[in-house]
Amino acid sequence: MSLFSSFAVSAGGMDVERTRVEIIANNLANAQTTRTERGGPFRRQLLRTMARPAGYADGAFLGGGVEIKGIDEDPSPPRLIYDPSHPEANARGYVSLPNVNLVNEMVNLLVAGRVYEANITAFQEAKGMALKALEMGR
Amino acid sequence: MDCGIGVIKEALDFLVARHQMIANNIANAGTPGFRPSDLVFRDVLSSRLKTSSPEPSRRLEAEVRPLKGPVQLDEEMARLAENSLRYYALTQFAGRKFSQLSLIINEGRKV
Amino acid sequence: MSADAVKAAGISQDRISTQLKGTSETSFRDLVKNYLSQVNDLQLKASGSIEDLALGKNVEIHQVMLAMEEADISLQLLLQIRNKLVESYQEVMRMQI
Repeated sequence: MSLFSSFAVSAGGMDVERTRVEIIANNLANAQTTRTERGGPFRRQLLRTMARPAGYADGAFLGGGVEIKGIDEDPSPPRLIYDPSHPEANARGYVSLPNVNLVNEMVNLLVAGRVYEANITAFQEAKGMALKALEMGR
Repeated sequence: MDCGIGVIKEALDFLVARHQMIANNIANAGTPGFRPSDLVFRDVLSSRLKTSSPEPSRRLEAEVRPLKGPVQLDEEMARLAENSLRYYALTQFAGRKFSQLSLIINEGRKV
Repeated sequence: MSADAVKAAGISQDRISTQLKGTSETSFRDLVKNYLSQVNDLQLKASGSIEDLALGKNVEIHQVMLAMEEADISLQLLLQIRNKLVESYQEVMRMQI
């Protein structure tokens, strides 16, 4: 595989992180949503990704990259807050709030941003290498 | 005609493959359970049984070296930069080599 | 006069090359022929790799560049050899016998 295939790998990485940011933004926006269409509080979402198979053979690197497999729901239970005055409070006065931890989400957001930037850098390096190779002609 | 760039050719191929490996590591930085890898030269001492010389011959082979997961982004960035720098240097050198050969061949005269 | 000179030069050339053949495996003519085919191979290799690049096949840019440079350099050498040969021929022709 030539250097060109690494463009696809880096672009795929950018796609993944961008989607991840969208999901985190959605989690943050719905951090206080107590009622959804299906009933119950909003459930935190995570991105499921899988690495594409890659290998090194005959002096060439083949394959590689990352794929989005789907969006999963965080199975951890909702947070229970005691607030009997809340319209969504249950019989014992507890409200179910989304299982979204703001600090976690912010950290994940920052990490996703850094990985996104790293993919951009990898992309630019590949392009730089190819352009430099073109300059080998006198 | 042997231009004396055989080593450069192999090295450039190696550096391209290494870049792809690093790019793959970076793309999968957020994939849970992903084990990053690096590409390294391995010194191979091989003895050639059929030749007359008893000296073992040395070759440089590239091999995949698995790294401890998860992906360390800073390390990957550092290796990325080092890798392309080596690529730039080798392409420069190859270009100069050809210029020199051209000079020698033409002795300052145009063909 | 000059025709005789050419003939004489031609005959002695053959004699020299047969003598050379006797001493080593390759004559000068074979060396040149050999080199010609090498240059041709390099040219073919270069245009082949350019074609691969154009068709989007598995070829690195540096491979194409190196192939092109090698073909170019070997062609330059060939042309200079030709120049030298033509020069020496002309030298010989200018000789008063």
